[in-house]
This record gives sequence, structure tokens and C-alpha cells, in this order.
Amino acid sequence: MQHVGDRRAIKVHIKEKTYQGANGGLVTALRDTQFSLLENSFTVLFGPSGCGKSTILRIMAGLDQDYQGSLDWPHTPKIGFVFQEPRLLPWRSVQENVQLSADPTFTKADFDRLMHVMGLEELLDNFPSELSLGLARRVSIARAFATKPTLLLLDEPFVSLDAPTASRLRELVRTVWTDNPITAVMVTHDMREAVELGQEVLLFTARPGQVRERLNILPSDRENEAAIEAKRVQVKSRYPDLFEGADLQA
Amino acid sequence: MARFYPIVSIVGFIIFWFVMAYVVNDVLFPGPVKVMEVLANEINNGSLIWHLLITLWRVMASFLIAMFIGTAIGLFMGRNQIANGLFDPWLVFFLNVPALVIIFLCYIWGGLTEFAAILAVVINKVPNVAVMLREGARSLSVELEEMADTFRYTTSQRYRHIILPQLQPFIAAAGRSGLSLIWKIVLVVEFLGRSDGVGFQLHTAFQLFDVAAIFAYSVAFIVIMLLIEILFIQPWEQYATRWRQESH
Repeated sequence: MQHVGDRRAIKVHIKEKTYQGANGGLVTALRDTQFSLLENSFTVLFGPSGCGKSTILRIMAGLDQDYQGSLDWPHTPKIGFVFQEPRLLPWRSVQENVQLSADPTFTKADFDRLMHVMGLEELLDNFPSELSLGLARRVSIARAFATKPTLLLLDEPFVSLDAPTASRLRELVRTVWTDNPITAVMVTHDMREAVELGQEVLLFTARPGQVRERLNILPSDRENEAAIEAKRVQVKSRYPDLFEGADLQA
Repeated sequence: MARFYPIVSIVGFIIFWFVMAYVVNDVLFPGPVKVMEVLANEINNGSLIWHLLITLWRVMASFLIAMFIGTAIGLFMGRNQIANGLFDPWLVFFLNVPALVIIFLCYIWGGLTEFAAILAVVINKVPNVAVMLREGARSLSVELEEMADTFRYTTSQRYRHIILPQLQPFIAAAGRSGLSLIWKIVLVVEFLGRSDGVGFQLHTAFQLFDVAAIFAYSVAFIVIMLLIEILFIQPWEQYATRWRQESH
């Protein structure tokens, strides 16, 4: 019998992460932040602005190594990162942007299928400057999946998008992820996004960020609009401070 | 209408040239017809082509070497604070050493050789390229570098797809200013220590008081440099910046 503990893929323990604030003083972004992630699960980090969620992603991606603590990986992950801003190469076409980051085993058929699912087939030769923000985000998501990651990190990938575009993009992420489930961690300020995509939502305290509660999301929680809204309201009624200035889009 | 302005300007200049030549003196200030006669004569006897090719080879060799070394130094200094601290005084030093002094020293220490000639031009140009590329290296996007780190770009991928495209405007500016500076220095180098090339021919014409030949060689060389600009540099720039032109 497999215990839940057997599926814990990554243990994150950040004793302390500080950085230099704008006024020159030291700011503690994270203190004694601990959680573990289930292998091939979709986890959402939800919390107020500045509680260090994005910092956690940067630490997990190896972009920030100036912290005290440890990351316990069962095996070194291959990381796919969807940044908050698409970070595409402006001088390379959509096709080149995706292929440059693709895994060596990512075949032409894989590429064609991914482009089809993401609705990018008609835009392969376009440059990023010719795309809307929504389309650029799609390319950025496609690029992350093309790396065939074992750990997918998404840092507010739907922020600043209009509601229909964000909804369509969430659907795309869900489709691609369901096709090939991998360990995914997404940061968001939007409880609707968290419920729509996450299997687990980690609720964070304000800075220095710590995990306040681990919330399981059941398929029935995202069955329809009413269920999603009910879940959002339920969380909001328990932790109104989490939503201050954060859940405006919802 | 605006596209005719350059033609109006050139025609106006030729008329002015005719008038000046008529007013001053045909020997001191030969008119366009006299200069064209000398030019045709030099082309017919093969002299102009030969000397032009020699000078062009020197310009191209020193240009490519100076761009390569200057870009490498600029990138290194722009991305490494220690290197910048160590080399900055020397960059300022070489930027301010007169070109003529470098040429003299290269000829004195290296002899009147091809190597010394090209070295002198390269040393004169490298600091300018390095300064421009250092600025470029300082403005490289941290976000794209992080993206490359995350997606494990190889070193060659980083240079080809991230660093060099960002440096392209700086390389283009250094290249353009470099080419115009280099060909002028090459002429001085040839004037002082070579027995061929446009600079040498100008030296000969100067000693013979042959102003028409000075004009003819100058015109020929300027035309060649303009052709290089139009046929090579501008199309390359257009290609390299096509992603910008296609934006909304």
C-alpha cells in the first residue's frame, strides 16, 4: 500500500530569506517556511502580496541561492518556468522561442501537437512584438512544457490578462497538464485560479511568509462556476486578510 | 519631395566646385572635369584599382580584428566589475594616446611592415569599440539571463540568441564609427610607412603637388566606402533589426 508520504516529491524548508529593502534595511521575506509537494500534483501558493511566494519559486528554480535552508529533491528536477512577464526573445520567432528551450527528445510531432493545443500553429513565424500579451503568455507556457519538465513553476501566469483570455489560458494549462501530469507549483493572487487549477492550495501568512493552511481542492470544487465561487467565498470568510487588495480580479 | 534633397545638394556642390575651380586656379583647385580625367587615367593604367584593393584589405583586416578584440574586452569589462576596475584606467589611457604616437611606436618597434601597420590601426580602434560594447554589456537584460539559466541554455546559445542580439545596436554603432575612423587611420599609416595603398599614393601626389590626383584618390575611396555602407552595412542592419520593424 502506498502511503501519502511516499508521494512527497520535494521538501522545501527555508529557514530565512532576507533582502535589502528600498530604504537600505534588511527585509525578511521568508522565515521557517516549510512544505512538501506531492509528486505529479498541481500545488498553488496563495497569499498576500509580498509574502514571498515568488521568492520561493525563484529559490526552487535555482535563480536565488542567497537563503538559509534546504530543498530536498528525490531526484534533480528538470525545470520549466512560466515567468510573470513572458520573457520571450524579441528577436526570435515564436517557433524559435519554443524550440530553443525544448528538450532534445522533444520531437517535431511533439512540437506540432503542443502548438496545436496551445492554438499557436498560425503564429510560428511571428515575432513576440506582433503578439498580444495573452498570446505571448501562451508561447511562454508552451516553451515551459517543451522542456519536458519534471517540475513546472508558474509565477502568476495569468496576471494582467482580461478575464476571458485568462480563463482560456487556464483551460489550456489544465489540458496540457492533464495530458502529462508533472509536479507543478503556481503562484497566484486569485482564488478562482487556485481552485480551477490546483489540487492543493497552500495558504500563506503575510511577510515573512509561512504556510498557514494546506487546502485540498476536490474535483467537485471546480465542477461549475457556483462551486468555484462557493470555495472562494468559504476561504475568504475564514481568512479575509488573504484577500486584501489581492483577489480583485475574482 | 524630401528624397530629392540629397540630389539637389550634390548637384549644388558640383556647381560650387566648378565655380571655385574657375575662380581660384586650376592647379591649386582642379575642377571636376580635370579630376575625372585623372581618375579615368588611374583606372586605365590599373594603378587606382591596385592601391584601392591594398587599402581595402588593410581596412577590412584591421576592422575585423579591432571589432573582435574590442567586443571581447568590452563584454568582459561590462560583465565583470573586477576586470572593469583593473582595465578602466588603461582604456582611458589608450583612448587618449594620439593615433600618430601609436603609429610611430608600432613602426619603430615593429619595423615598416604590414604587421606593424595593421597593429597600429587595431590599437587605435580597440578602445573605442571596447567602451561602446562595455555600455552594451552593462545594459544586458537580467530577466533574459535568468530565463536562459532556467532553461539551461548552453554558452553558445546564450551568445547567439541572447547576448549578441542585445549587443547588435552597440556593435552596429561601433562598426559604423569604426569603419570611418579606421580608413582614415589606415591612410595615415600608409602615408607614413607603406609603399602601396591609397595613403601612399596621396603621399606621392602631395610631394608632386598634384592636387588633382589627391582629389581623384579621395573621391574613389569615399565612393567605395559609401558602397560598402549601402551594399553591406545597411542590409545587415535591416536584417538584424527586422524583429523591431515588424512590431505594431
